[in-house]
Amino acid sequence: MCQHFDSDNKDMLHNYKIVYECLVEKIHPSCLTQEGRRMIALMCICRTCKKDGPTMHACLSCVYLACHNCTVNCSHIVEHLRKNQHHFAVELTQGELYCNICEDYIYSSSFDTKVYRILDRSKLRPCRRKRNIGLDSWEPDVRDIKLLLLNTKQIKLEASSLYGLRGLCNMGNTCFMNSVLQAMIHTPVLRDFFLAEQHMCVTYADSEHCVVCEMRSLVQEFHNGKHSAFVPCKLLQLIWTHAHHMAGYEQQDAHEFFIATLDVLHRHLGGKTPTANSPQYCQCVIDTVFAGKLQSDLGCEKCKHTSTTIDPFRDISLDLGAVAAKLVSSGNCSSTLDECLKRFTKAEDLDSRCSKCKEGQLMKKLTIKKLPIVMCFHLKRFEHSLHTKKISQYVKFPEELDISPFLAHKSDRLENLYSLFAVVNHSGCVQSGHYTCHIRMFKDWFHCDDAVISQVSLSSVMESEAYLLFYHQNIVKYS
Amino acid sequence: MSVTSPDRQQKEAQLKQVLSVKLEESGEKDRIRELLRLKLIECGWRDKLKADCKELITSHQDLNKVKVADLVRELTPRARSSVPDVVKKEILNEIREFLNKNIPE
Repeated sequence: MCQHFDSDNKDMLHNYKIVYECLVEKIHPSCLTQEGRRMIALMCICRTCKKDGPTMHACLSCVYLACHNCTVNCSHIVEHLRKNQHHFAVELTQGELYCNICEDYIYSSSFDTKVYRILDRSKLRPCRRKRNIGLDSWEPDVRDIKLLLLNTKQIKLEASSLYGLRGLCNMGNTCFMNSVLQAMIHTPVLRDFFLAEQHMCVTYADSEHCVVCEMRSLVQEFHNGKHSAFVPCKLLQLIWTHAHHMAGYEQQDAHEFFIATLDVLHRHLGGKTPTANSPQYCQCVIDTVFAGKLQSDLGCEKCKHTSTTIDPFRDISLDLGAVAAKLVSSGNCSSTLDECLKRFTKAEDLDSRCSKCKEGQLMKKLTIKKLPIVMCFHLKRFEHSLHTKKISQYVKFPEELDISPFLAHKSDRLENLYSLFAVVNHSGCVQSGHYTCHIRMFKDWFHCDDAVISQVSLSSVMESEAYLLFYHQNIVKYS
Repeated sequence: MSVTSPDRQQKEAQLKQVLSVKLEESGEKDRIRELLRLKLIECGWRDKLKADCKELITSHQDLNKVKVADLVRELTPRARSSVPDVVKKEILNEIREFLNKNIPE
């Protein structure tokens, strides 16, 4: 954003229009004759050095034409702007604006809108017509009109509207499912996928049996403006049929349900599991969103020989630490997500010798090789020994997470920053517990307890007893 | 090539000027430029450059401080040398053809 450019300046707009029509796009009537084009050719010469480039610019205050060669730091247009206290120039091949105070090219969407309003867009080349995506007015075609006439109900969106929030009915011990579903429905990239109707069902001829289709209708149910609690019975039934170990009216583990659901969705999307022959990454939406890669380095202390294997993951299970587990009975003790991650990526002493030198101790170290868009952490609160025990200790987790320290290749990129958007909580004990979920909508947090949804403060989220933590990448790289 | 006299140099510059005006006024310059644009998209050069740009921008500590001039300075040598020979040849042929038709007596 440039603070110096005034998009309301009429003279600027006028000059820009003339330059754009005559020298950039050459759509002005006078450019259509040979004589006119000859004039342009003679005009497009740097007034300072008399050469025809490179990258010619025109001053927006006085239409002084000059070159700008930033590779060798010789710019006559900058010289002109500085000398005459003019500030803006337009580049002649693309029509980009240059601000001499910012010393860089700038973009002003309001100016662009104004320019496109006064230009005859039909004369522009197709590639130019599309340059400003946001400005293309949408003309409904026959099919759109038909659909619009069928759907006359309008939903007005305001900052305060609770659009997209809906409770889920408990169908008898299904709070584990409701909590995970809430987190998935409010996963931005996943939600957009389903709302944009990106799923083309290939696995089943009829969408009745496809879990992806059911997930899509569920996401769409959440966004149709209704607020009454929804009964996801069909999805439950489909998951029962496709993941047998989840069937039955018993309380299940939310994490297991999450894994099973991702797996069923992945299968129904026609996703392939990478094999030795084709280690290619699966392109289905589930793996695009949730899958990352873990690097495990097996190294010898002595001869420094390391062997590396890379495994895909869709979530990371974190130990709360054996020491912490013992302490928990004696009193309050807390740990942090950061500590858990450090423990997870710490070099671990394996009880075996190096196969190369037969002497050195083998060490194993896990690091994250490829980051997923959505990072799911599972805190191992349930200890499965003779009797399943629950560790209820509080684990502190951040709202913004920087994953940089835990990467295989250390880097300080913006892609390493994540923000929290959903938390699945477990309260109670192993035998009788209850799952609830916290989700974020823009900046507000909501607590979803089956059919009941209530707004909560950020601090109450951060103090809650988390079981699954969902973080979303702040900057998603499109490839 | 023999030593160019100042006279000859001047003549060459004049000829260059005349031809570049001709190239522009006939509309050939825009046509060839558009052709080059399409060829570069077709061979993947543009996508590669775009990816390089993104890479360079995101590797900066402060995104707001990256300037177009920095990108140009850093990427121009690489971008120039990675234009495929076939594309260069084709464009060169276009220009040569134009020159053959338009060289003044």
